[in-house]
Amino acid sequence: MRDILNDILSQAGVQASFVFGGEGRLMGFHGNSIYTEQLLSEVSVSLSSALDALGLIDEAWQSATVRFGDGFLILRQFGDNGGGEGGTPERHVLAVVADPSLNRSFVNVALRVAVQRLQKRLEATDPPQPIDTGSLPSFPTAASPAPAPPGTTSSAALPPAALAIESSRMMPAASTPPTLDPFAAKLTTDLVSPMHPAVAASSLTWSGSSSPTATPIAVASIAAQDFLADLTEDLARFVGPMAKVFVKECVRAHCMDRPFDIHDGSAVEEAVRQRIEAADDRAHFEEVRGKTSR
Amino acid sequence: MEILKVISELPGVESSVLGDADGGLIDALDEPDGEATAAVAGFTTHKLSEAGEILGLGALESVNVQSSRAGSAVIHTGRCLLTLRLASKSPAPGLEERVRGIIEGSSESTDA
Repeated sequence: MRDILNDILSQAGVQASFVFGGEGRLMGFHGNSIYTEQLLSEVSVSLSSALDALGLIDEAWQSATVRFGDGFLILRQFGDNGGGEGGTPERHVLAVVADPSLNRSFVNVALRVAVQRLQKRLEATDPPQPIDTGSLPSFPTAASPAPAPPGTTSSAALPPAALAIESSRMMPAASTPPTLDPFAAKLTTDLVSPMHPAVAASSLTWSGSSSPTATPIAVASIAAQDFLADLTEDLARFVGPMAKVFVKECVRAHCMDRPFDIHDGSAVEEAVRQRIEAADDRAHFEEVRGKTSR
Repeated sequence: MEILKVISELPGVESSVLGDADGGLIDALDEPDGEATAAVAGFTTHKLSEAGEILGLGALESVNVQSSRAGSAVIHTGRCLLTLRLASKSPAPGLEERVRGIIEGSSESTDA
């Protein structure tokens, strides 16, 4: 499956692609390493609920394009092959996360091809079995990391720092050991947690988004607001739409319950820098920030 | 509501339902079950917004759905959701922009 998802990822603007089945069960994924198995599992559950509801008004739906302020989610349904519980048809969905630079015409063609290939593989499975990401050698998960290619060092044998540098932006997200990504484990719970009363009481906030569902963070001044906006913009060059999520996470970790102040800027910037996996991207980010702050 | 009449005259639009973000029906035109459509649009966009927020994609703006026979579109406008059933699989080029223009024009004239 990874080869199919990789073809989609080669399209301009595509950040991640993944497949989920009934009840939002993540079946496979490939993308920028910031899109972890846990994060995409959470997303799959939300998407599955949305699509179940969509079926109430249009049960024959085949594809959906969701446009957000900072990117797209494209969903294509396939695979009603009787592979569900008790032999009932099971819906599978191929999902693509993309930034605004996406060429929708090109990616639609790539998706049609990918769905055909996925459908064939699904039909070739006899009896129909759900695709287990943990059992596919080409689709490693955190529980079963990918075997290292011949001539390379196994990820498991490397210290965390070396592993972080070794991780390419396009490696399968789940092959990163869970110990390397504690933020991702905390991310989803933080996003749905109610705001702390001390934060909620502050009058100035920054959410990095116009979404009414975005959870804002408290800031002490307009200058602090501007700083976070600039930092997010610079970070987005390297991590895409996840930049605002990273910045919020770093601010929360550093400031705890108090509002973010401009004096917290350097510490937060350093924490944000550490979220960039590739060493050369981190260096480039430093360069960009150096120019910004001059 | 006058605004839905104007929108329903746009090319390819078969019916329209205006609801709030919580799924409540405000008005419907040529749609037999506007209440259910508004509720589904509210719930669906809420769940899609959740997914978009986790992925850092920002605010939800629109959803275009294609089926084997036809298509539909949900357009998020301020606090409202406009659901359109379409005659073809894809919305006519520029439909969303025209709809937004009509809604903004309507709210400006209301404000005045």
